[in-house]
Amino acid sequence: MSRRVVITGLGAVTPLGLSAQESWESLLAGKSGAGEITQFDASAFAVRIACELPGFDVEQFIDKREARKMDPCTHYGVAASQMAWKDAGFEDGGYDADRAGVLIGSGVGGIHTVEEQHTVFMEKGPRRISPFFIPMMIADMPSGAVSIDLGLKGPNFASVSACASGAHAVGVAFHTVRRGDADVMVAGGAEAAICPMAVGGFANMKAISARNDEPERASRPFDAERDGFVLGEGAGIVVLEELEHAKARGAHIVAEIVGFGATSDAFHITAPAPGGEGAARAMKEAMRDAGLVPGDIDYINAHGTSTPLNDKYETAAVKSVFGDHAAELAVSSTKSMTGHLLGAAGGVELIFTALTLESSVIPPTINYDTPDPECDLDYVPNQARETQVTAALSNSFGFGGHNAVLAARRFEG
Amino acid sequence: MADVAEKVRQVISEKLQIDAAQVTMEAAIVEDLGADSLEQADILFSLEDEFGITADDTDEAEGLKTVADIVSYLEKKVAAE
Repeated sequence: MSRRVVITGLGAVTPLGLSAQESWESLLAGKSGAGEITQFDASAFAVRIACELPGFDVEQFIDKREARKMDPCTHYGVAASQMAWKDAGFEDGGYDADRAGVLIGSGVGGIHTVEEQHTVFMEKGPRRISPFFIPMMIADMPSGAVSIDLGLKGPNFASVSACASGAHAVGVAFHTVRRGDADVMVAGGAEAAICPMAVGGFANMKAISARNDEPERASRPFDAERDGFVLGEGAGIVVLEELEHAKARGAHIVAEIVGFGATSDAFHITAPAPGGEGAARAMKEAMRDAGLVPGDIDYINAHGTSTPLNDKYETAAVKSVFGDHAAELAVSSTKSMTGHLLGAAGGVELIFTALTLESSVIPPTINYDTPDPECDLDYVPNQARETQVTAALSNSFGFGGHNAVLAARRFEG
Repeated sequence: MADVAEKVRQVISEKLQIDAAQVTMEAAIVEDLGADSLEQADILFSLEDEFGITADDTDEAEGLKTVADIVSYLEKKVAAE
């Protein structure tokens, strides 16, 4: 019989809070994490808003000497992983390090470090490039640093698929445990891209909202007046564990992860395929992998970026997959509050999906004021909703046409 | 000379995040202060920047073991400039 995989630990640093629980509480209260950019002087930029972390202190997690050799994306990944590991109850053992691995995705890796060291190079020449530049910049370092920090010696690598990186990481980690290559995987995403080059680049793509005067209202997925996403940062990490392993040590089980679907649009570098064709196939694949049918799904944590095209095509994709059942589904975008955490989004949103399954409360889509005729699903507008959710999907789609969908179930033994 | 030693100790203390009192002249960078190869390079490049020299005589620079070795190497380089 196939091995089952459950979520036994959650850890997050998000614009809504410095733990999974604090982020979840802000989410249910409908709070926005957006504000003016404080990490650099954005006054010359077309976009001057983002969802930054509220007062993260790396030294609570990593000693100074090690921290200064890591990019902020690794700081966030290590911090969230330590919290997830502790939440899983693994602090004092209960696992075989050789059978425990790490898989953390990042969309852009150490872009702060790239910017900083490029400036050093331009000003002082090649001999002043830090010997830590490469290890700080490479996108696999959140995974590498977490394996060192927690002493985990099983499979260890990283996924890079832009805004689907975190979901791919969790999906591949889930399959790794299910097929027996590991018993425990620390998985999710980490991102720190609120820096001049990334903000300027996304702004010039017209991918991010320029609603500078109303940052808290800028991320408005599925609303007719949406004009792009709001850049976020942070990390979302789960501990995935084989069910019998979790039961044997009496672990608290948050939810069960049951399916992963991954497809490609094979269409365009940034635009989603018309009708959300690739996204639709990923949702079908996730349900097939899980042994679920469309009628089993109650909730979708949407990719819901707040860009004109994503939200329209994601809606079309849901309708094409679910048919009449689409009208029965609750579909919310937590990016309306967290902003878009790029490669960390999939990890953070799986945490929110798991907490929805466990607590029977669906987080809302905030800033939903003006209906768009092309977005006509139940987006759980503006208010959290109490209702039992038995099975859910978490959608993530990335530039490059990468689609990754996770399926999770309420854990019932 | 005291200035060079003081600066070297300050850079090492900052790069390795250890108390300057631990950075004695006799302390070996690797064995006593625990620097890895990247940290050694980082310290050397910072000192180059600080003193406006280039430690491109690789064999000699790589042979530096203690704080005192680094200080006398730098004094020699600065005098030669």
